[in-house]
Amino acid sequence: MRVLVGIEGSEESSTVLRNAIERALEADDELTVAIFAKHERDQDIDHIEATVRDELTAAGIDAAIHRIEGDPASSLVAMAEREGFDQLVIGGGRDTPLGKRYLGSISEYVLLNADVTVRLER
Amino acid sequence: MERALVVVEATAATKDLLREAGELATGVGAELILVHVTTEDEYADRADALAKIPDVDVSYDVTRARDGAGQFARDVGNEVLQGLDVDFRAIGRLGDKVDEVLAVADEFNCDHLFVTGRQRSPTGKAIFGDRAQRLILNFNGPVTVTTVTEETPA
Amino acid sequence: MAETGPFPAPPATSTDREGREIVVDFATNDDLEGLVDMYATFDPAQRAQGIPPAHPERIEPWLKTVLDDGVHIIASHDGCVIAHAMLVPDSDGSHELAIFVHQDYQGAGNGRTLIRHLLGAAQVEAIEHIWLTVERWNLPALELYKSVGFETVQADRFDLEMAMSLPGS
Repeated sequence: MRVLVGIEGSEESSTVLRNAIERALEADDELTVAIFAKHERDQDIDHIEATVRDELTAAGIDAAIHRIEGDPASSLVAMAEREGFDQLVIGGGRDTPLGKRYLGSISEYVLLNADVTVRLER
Repeated sequence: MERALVVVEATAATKDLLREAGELATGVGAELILVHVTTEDEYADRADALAKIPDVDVSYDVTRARDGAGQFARDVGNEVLQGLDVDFRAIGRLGDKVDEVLAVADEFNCDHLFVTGRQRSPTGKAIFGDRAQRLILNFNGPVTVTTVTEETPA
Repeated sequence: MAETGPFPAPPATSTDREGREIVVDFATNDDLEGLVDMYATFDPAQRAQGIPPAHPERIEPWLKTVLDDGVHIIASHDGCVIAHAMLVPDSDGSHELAIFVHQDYQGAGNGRTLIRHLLGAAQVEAIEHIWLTVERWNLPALELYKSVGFETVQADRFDLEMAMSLPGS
């Protein structure tokens, strides 16, 4: 199965990536990682790419890394559809201090708009 | 993934979902739990309908409703998963569709949830059902959502 | 403060904030091709809840389905369709509203012009209850809907549901 994983530079994302790697090894998936930076949090895309590359190398996985330009949510959906991926993997939400779980707007957009199967990883 | 829970509804999209879950489970040697929940309203409607048929002595009770729900899940499983080397168990429940699914997930220690959820509004917009959304937010583990958009039930 | 109507009914001609002459009128069967052309170049980033469909070959079947019933008005500039607004009946005697403005014509007041004329058309057709769903992060759309009298009725889902009742004309 060809799997596209959307990763931003957050703590939630590193869990998403680790779980996606674990599952890819288990199911023999072909993994592609799409990375994007959240400008409002002043994230550095080079740093995110290096972190993702380290994780992949440590797991012994050969996966392509794509940098997403523009709006992350619609770009992810467009890329998954254009390149014929079987599944799109994104973060399945964070918990508020009160323990209430919520999905980020990127995950919500993907769930409403993607034409491919979506896996919420957490 | 060792044991995945698949929510079985009476929709065409459920079959696509189950096929996808079946193929994945086969690949990693996981077991599937298929759950179908009959709501209290559906149960009451069915009991009323049966009571109105004269000369038919059918005692439709809670146990039969639960068995019927389980049988439905089993039938769908047998149809869709035939030919795949995957073990599955079918569970029927009576009650709230979200609460019961989450309870089954707990009881069977399911580590992955498969669910359909999108419906289509009259103008064609995709709408995520309240139940699917509650399931997605409350299940503690990865969730696979198939995005075949179902027609809005009339 | 939300506008309370009565709203103007089509046909109408106005000038948008970019100085372009925009004609608003009811859609006819002859407009299918122009609508397909507009949606074919619609910015995918502005797709709302799966419509317009991503695949070009699915645009026409979707349009034929929705155009089959309800109230449809279009805005045109130089003979090209630049926006489409619709009211499609549901099974409860209510109507769902949807509006799409091509990205080249956004931010120029055209969405507002179109929705006001759609509500005017609804009053002519004696449509009383209208609802819509909108993605919660789509702030310009939310503002537009609020400005013509829509109120949020369901906010627990990914998409927000808004509704309004029109006074009879």
